Amino acid sequence: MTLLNLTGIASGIWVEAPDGSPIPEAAQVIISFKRLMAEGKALLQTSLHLGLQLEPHNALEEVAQYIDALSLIVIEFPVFTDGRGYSQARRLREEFGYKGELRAAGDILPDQARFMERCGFDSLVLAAGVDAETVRAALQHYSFVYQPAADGLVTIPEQRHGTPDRLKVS
Amino acid sequence: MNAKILSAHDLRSGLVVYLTSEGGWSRKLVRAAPATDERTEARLLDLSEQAIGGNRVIEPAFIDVDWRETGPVPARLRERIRADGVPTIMPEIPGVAAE
Amino acid sequence: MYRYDSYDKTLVLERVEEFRDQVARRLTGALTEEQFRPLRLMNGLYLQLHAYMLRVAIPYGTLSSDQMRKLAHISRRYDKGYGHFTTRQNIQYNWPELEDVPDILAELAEVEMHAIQTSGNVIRNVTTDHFAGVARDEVADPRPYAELIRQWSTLHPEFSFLPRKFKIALTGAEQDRAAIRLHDIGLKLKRREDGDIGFEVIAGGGMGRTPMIGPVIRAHLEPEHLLSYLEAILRVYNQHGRRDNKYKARIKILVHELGTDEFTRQVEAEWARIKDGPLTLPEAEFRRIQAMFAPPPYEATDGSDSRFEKSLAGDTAFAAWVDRNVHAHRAPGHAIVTISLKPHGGIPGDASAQQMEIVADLAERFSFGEIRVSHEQNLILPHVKKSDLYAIWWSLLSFGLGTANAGLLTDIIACPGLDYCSLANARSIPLAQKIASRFDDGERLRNIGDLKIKISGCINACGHHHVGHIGILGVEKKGEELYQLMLGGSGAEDASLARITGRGFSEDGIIDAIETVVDTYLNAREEGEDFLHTYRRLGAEPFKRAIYSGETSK
Repeated sequence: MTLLNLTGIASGIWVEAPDGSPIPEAAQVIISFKRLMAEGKALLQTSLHLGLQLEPHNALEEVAQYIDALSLIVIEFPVFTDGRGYSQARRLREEFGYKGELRAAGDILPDQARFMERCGFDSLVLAAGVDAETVRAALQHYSFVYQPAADGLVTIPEQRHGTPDRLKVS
Repeated sequence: MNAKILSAHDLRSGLVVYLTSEGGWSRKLVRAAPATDERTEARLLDLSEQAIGGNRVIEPAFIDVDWRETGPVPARLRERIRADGVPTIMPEIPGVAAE
Repeated sequence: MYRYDSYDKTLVLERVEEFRDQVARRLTGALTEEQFRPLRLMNGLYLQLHAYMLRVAIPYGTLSSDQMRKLAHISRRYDKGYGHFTTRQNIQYNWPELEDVPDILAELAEVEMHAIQTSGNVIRNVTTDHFAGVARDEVADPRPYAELIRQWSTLHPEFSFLPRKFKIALTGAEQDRAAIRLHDIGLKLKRREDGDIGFEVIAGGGMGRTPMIGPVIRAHLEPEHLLSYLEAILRVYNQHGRRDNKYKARIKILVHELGTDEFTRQVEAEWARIKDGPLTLPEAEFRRIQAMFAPPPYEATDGSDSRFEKSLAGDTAFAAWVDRNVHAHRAPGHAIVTISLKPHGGIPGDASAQQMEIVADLAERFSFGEIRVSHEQNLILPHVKKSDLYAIWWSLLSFGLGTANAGLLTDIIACPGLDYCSLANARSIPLAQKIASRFDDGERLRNIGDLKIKISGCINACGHHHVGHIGILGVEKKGEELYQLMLGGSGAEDASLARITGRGFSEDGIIDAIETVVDTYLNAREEGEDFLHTYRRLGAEPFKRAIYSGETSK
C-alpha cells in the first residue's frame, strides 16, 4: 500500500480504531461512520484529531454536524466501478464546506486518479500492484477541463472568454 | 460424441481462435482439440492460461460441440456463427472467414 | 456546424495519446485484459462475436462532408470497407485490429471526431432530432445545447462511473423524431405562453428489459440552467441509482422506485443548491456555439420551381421518392432529403466506403457540406434546393441509395443481432432482409403507408422493438431462433409501448404473421388512417385473432 499525496496536504500518522475496540492512545484516530454516529458527541470533547472512514452508502447529512471537527475523511471505493465516492467527495467539499484532508482508498485504477483529484481528494491509498508512477503520469495527461468541479480549476469555457474570476484552489 | 473445445479471441486481431492439441491457436474450428473428460479440460485450460500470460489471446471459454466424423459442430447457433468467422449475411468478407 | 477550437483539439488529441499508451502497455502485457477492458470500453472499443468493434460518436448526428470522407477512408484502410450507422447516431466498425485503434482515433481527431464515451457507464453520445435546425415545426435548434452537453459531459470527473450507461436526447420540434421519452433524460425546447423558451425535462425513460416512458419532471427550465439541472439529476442518480443489479441500474428504475414526485423533489433540492453556481450558462459561450449552427446562406427563392415540378410530373419513380424521402424545409425552395440505408435485401444502416463518399460529395455540392445521421439508421441531406432534387435522386439511384421507403414498412430499424453481437440471442438482419423481400413492391408499400418495424435480437432492445408499430424480439428457444411479435409501440410524441401478441414464431412464421397483421389493418382501416391509429382504435384482438386463428392447421 502506498499513500499518494496529490495536494501536498500534511497528513501525519493515522491509527484506525475498529468498532468495539477502545480508542487507541494516538493523536490521530480514524473511526467508522457507525462509531461517529454513536460516540461522536463524546469524542468531540477529547483532544483527539478525528478521521472518518466513509462507505459509499453513508449519508453525508448525518456527518454534517461533525464536519469542522474532522481532519481526515477516507472515502472507500469497494470496486472501481462504484462511483458514488466521487459525488460524496464533491458534496463534502462544495455542499458541506469540508476543509480537512480527503482521501480515497480501495479499488482505484491509475486513470481514475485525475477524476478523484478533480472531485476534491487530497490523497489516494494505492493498493499493492498499483504503480505510483503510472498514477502520477495519468494525473498529468490532460491540459484542460470542460466542467467546474471541486478543484476550482478554470474551465475551458472560462478560458475562452477570459473570465477566470475564480482562482485555483490549492 | 459430445465434447468441449476451448475458444478465445486473438489479442491483436480480435478474431476467433481455437486451442489446438499442440497448444497453438487456430482460426479453424476443425483443428480445435476436443476434451471429453475433466482431465483434458484441465489441460486445455492450463494451455490457454499460458497463452493469456503470454498476451496472445483473451476471453477464453469452453464451448460445447458435437464431434462428428466431419469434425466438430458447435451446439449453439451463436458458436456456429462464430466458427464461420463472418456474419451469416456477409459470408464474402475478405480476410476474416475462418476457411 | 460546430468547429473545434484549440482547447477541444488539445483535449481530443490528449485522449488519443493516452489510449495509444494504454494499448502499448496492453500489448507488452504491462496491463492485463482485466485492467485494460474498462480503458478500451471508455474509448468505444468492444470485443464482439467475431472481432473487436469500434464505436465512433457522431455528436447529435451532424457530419460534414470531410468527416464523412474520413469515415469512409477509415473503413477502407483499417476495416472491411463499410460501416454501420446505429440508432444512437454513432458509426460502428466491425473489424479493427487493436494496434490500429490509436491510429484510427488520431485520424478521427484530424476531422474533429472521437470515440470518447461511446460505451461504459457514462453519459453517452448526445442525440438530437435529425432535422434539427431545418424542421418547420421547431421552436429553436437544439444542437447548440447538445454541444454544450457534449463538452460538459466529456471526461466528467464525477459521472464517469455511474450505475449504468446514460443517454440524453434533445429536440426543439413538436414532432418527436429523437424518441426523447425513451431516454434517461429527454429535453424538449418549448415556447411558453409568455414567449420564453425553455426545456421540458423528461427523466427515467428507456427501453431494455424494463421499458418505460419517461415522466416530465419539469415543465419549463430556463436554458441558462440546463447544465446545473442535468448535474443535479446525475448527482441524485449517481448516489442513489441501484448498483446491486445491473438490470435494475438504469435511472428509470430509480425514478420508478422512488416515484416521480420524490425523485423530482430530490433533484430540485440538489438543483436549488447549485443553480446559480459556475455551471450557469455564460451568455458569451452560448453565443459562440450558437453562431456555428447558424443557417447556411440559402439562395432566396419564392418557393416555386418549374424544373422540379416538371420532373415530378414526368417521372413517377422520382415522384414516389419525393413523396416519401423529401421533407418540408423551413427555407422556401428548399427541402430535406432522407437517404435510405434500407435497400430491399440490404443490411439496415450499413454503408460502403463508396456510398459514404458519394453522400459526402452530394452534400458538398448540394447541401452546404452537411449531413445528418438519423436514429432510424438513415442519412439526411438537410439543405437541398428543390431544383437539385432530381439530379441528387439520379446519383443516389446509381449507388443503391435511392430507395423510396422512408417511414414505410421496409424502413426497418434492426440491431446487429447474432450476426455480430455477443449479447444477441437471435439474428435481426436476415429477418429484416426477408421482410423487405416479402414486401418488395413499391405500390403495395405506399398503399400500406407509415409503418415502423423495429427488430431486436435480444431483450436489451437496441433495435427499439418496444416502440415499433410492429416490434420483433428475437429469443433463443431450445437452440433455435424464435421471434416474438409485438404491436402498437411508438417512440414519437405519442409514445407508447408495444405489447406482445402471443406465442413466438420461426423466421418464416414471423414474416407470415407480419403479412397477416398488415392485411388485417388494410381491411379494417378507415379513410386516411395509418397502421398505428387503426391498431389503437381496434385494439390487439382482431390482429391476434387473425394471426393465431388456424394456427393448428399450419
